[in-house]
Amino acid sequence: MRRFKYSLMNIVIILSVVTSLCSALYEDQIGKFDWRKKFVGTIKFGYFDAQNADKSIVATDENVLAAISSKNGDILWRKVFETDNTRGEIKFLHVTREGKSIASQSGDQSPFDIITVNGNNPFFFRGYNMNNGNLLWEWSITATSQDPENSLFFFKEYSMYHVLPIWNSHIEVTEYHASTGQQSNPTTSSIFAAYITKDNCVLNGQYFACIVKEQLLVIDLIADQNNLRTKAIESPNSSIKVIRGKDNVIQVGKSVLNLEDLTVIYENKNDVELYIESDKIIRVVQNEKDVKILTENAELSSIEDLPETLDNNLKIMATKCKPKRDDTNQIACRFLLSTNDGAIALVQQGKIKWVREESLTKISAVEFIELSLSDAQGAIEEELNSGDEEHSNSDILSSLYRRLHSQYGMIKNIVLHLLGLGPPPSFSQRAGLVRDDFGLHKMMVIMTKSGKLFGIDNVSGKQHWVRVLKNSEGFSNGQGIRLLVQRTSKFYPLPTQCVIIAREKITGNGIIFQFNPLSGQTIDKGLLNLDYKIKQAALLNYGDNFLRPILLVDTNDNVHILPESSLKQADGFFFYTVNRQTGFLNGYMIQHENNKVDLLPTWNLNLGGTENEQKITHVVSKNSVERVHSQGRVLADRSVLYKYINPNLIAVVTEGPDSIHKYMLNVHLIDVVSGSIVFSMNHRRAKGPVRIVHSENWLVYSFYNEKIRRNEITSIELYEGKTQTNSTIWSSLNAPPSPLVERQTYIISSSIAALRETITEKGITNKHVLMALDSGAVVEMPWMLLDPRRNSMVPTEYEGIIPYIPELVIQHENTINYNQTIAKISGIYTAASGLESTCLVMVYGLDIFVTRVSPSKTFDLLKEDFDYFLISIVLIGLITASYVVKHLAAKKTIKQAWK
Amino acid sequence: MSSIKFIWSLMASVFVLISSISSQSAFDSHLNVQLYHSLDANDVTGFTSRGNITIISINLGDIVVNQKELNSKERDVLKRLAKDKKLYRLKAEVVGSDGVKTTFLSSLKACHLIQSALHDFITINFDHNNAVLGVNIKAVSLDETSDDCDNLGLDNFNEFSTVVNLKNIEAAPIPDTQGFIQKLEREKEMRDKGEIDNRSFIQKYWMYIVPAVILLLVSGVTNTEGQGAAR
Repeated sequence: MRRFKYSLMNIVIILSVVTSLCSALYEDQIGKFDWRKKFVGTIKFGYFDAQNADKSIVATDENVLAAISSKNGDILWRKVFETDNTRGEIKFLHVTREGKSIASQSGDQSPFDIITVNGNNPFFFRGYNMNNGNLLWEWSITATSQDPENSLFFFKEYSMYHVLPIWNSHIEVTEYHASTGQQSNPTTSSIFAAYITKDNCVLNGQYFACIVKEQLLVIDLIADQNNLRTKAIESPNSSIKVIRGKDNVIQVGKSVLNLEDLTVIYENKNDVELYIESDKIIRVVQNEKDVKILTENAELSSIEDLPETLDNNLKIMATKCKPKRDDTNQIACRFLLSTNDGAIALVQQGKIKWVREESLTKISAVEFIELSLSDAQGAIEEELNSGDEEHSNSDILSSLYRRLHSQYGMIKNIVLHLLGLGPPPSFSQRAGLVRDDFGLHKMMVIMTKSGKLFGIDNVSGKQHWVRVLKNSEGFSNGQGIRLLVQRTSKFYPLPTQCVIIAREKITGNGIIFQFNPLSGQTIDKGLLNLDYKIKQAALLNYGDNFLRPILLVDTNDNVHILPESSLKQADGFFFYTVNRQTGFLNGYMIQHENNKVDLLPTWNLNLGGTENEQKITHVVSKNSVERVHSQGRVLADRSVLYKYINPNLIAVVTEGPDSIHKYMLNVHLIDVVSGSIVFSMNHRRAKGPVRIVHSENWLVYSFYNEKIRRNEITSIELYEGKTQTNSTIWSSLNAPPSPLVERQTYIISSSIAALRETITEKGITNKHVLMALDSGAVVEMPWMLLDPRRNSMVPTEYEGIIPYIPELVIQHENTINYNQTIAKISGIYTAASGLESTCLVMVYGLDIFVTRVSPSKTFDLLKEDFDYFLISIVLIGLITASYVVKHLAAKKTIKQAWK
Repeated sequence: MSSIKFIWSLMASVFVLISSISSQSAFDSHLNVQLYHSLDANDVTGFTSRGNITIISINLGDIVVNQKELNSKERDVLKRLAKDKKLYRLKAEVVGSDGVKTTFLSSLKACHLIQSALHDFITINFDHNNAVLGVNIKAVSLDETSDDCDNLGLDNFNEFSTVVNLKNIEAAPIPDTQGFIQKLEREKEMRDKGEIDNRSFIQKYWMYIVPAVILLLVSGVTNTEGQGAAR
């Protein structure tokens, strides 16, 4: 009987969990709360469709082959190859230039017009149809010679040639029939060339050109005899590079050579960007503001006032020219350009037709910024604020005056607005960037690795502003460019302020860029070049004008505070540094004395192991804006198990080889103020990639178990015990007792690309863990399923713990992106909205997907299909009915009384 | 007792705790930890010797602690440190059996150290190869830890009373597939043999039948009443 009750209980629990999790979307809600933007990545090779140039075929560094419409820049089709460069990297792209499919010329079965070579031994050769991107054939080769990663390829008349230069020895050339992969000759031809060296040689088409001392040697790889020609050059230190556009032109030093007859066809005196279009040399001349595209005697295109959002370092990837109808000698061209910061632009008739911001495929930091108040809301805020400030001398009369004044102002505004005489709307109002009732509308500020900064609307996906931070890059040690919020939108009328902390590309010094994240405008001086290298950067607590000062520590351990007036605030600030390679963690305290700040080293740890074999791969702290609503957990015996909530706790993951167990993975939980290791755990024969999320009193991470060859996910929960040491203030220096640690490992069937916890404003809503799978799906996993207390020891029936099952089943109905696959997910960002139930989510990778999730359902929101009409009819009906009945009842009592 | 003369005293109160028996580390090793402390707030780099800890066996937790007595000058400096709300910093030079020296630093509020009358915990963390991850010092926490150190005397205490705690890395849990399969099998067995119920249908489900019957009866009564009223 008891058993029966148990299992019934379990079923009830499981059912309740499963049903409560179905947060699926209705069909008509598709795209209502979410949007997805597709990208291709920074362009590596590009060609126009030869027939009419209405699309361009591009291959990118994100291992993507795509066709982009010339009209509007939309992706017509896209093939995403493996992320792993040994299989996915695109090494070669050939697109037919004659406008005819290759096979229709050769009489083959399947016509193809694109050839790609992917990977690094084995090399995958693939043929595609240009119109629909269909894969038509595929074959692969595996080179057995040494250093196959040096392989080069070219295509000539239905054949693919594999060129493998063995530096300082010879060149191996193998010919394959393009569509079948059959070797045309049974043997690989070897060309003896002991003079070839890596930096002095290039391959362009069938010509292999090398600089040897004061000579240029050109080897024709197809010719049977007389394949070597030489030409004297001016200086042996000339650089050699390929000029795009034609298979036989290179630039040596400053002279441009045709490799067929070794004639100098152009002297590139200013060393500008060149391109060859049907024997014409096209130059790109860049000035401060404009860019001119010229042939030898005519100007083809001139882009006046190049937008600031484009790096002016333009490269021509492809051109398509045709003679102008009216003028006999003139030609009109269409250019596909790429910039240093990863954008792709199409230029036609001196105008930029469209720009694709492909740097968004490499995101370094994201923040969701709350929008500012509208003027009307702001006026109310101002009225309340001024009351606060003059609290001591505010009396009824003055507050009445303020109230009347602000109401007068509102009425005046309304009247002026109705008459059409009101003040012009501000930038944010025009763009619709005003805070909504539920705080669901935010500005996504995105910093990319190429130094481009974006302000994107999270509802519409519109780019409100773009800025380029020239010469900025991420820090060494695997740290990207930092984006920090100095002042949130809460402090009306002070503007919101963010700061970018980056590194100068050339000098390595620090760069600071302060800006308003809502409008993208610079604040103060804007870009600030520092004269020192940054070691650590952080924000202090709110100081003057509700601005969080920036704390910078340079490599000589000097402390800098911006603005300097907030120097005193840094006193007693603890921070730490991590060296990924050596495994050293150092803790410091900042002391402020005699108007001077200095560093006091307070602790250090060495997580590197005896021979420094353990490398730190992840350092994860909690979200600084997180709030924990519930301090404990009620157990079966009605006692409370208090959570160990230490805001100074970080998780550090180290990975390394081991002599006995092959791979070791250690996880340490460290209090970074006191420097004590709170807990550490060791996985044998486990290795990365580790994905980790740290929140409240728990930690969840996934890894690969080498021994059993499967993915596993471990969760850790920390508890203080049945009593709470100090319920008001947490101090790491007061030696808090070490926590109880609950832990559990689950098997997970899919490998995980990213993990992130949901966050809400007050932390009342349940926490879910968002798991991005390698398949491109993002699944919402309730914390209940990851709970480390799910084991056989704990009585489950009262606490509502689901009985332990070793495998964590991914429920596909919990996929938040339904059929909107997100390619190559690299991260998830979550932010709280104004609604307690709702969390805003942004998933990024090759694509960007923005949506919202409500882990405990939308308990604070009426359903969309809520019947307002019915409920008001019922209410009105009931009220009138009660009045009528009351009247009737009164009549009746009177009648009764008269009887 | 002159201040120049070094008096090494074996501490009477030495406890050794090993938080987890080191089933992980296959081999044992010994360690020597030299302790230095910084008592002068004005001299950040100056460390003076405090004593040493010899760990004869990490796995067995065999430890000998030797610490110096504080002289009156050092006591005064320490008291000043506490009064100024500064940190007491401990430097530990760890020399392993392979002779490699690693230096660790740890600190706590000087005030707390005085409050606990120089009773402290030193935790040494080890990884899976018995390499030292860190050395951490904590004052033995008293019932009430306050930051008010102005009126604390230290005259009766001149010896550190140290508890050394060796903490090994713990083995991570692995998915308990075996246990789960066994549990399923047990359940199946139970179902197969023991659970064949010989009780009659009524005996088994009386708790469902009785309410249903009562419900029927009640509704029947109201129905007859209704009919009666209609009549």
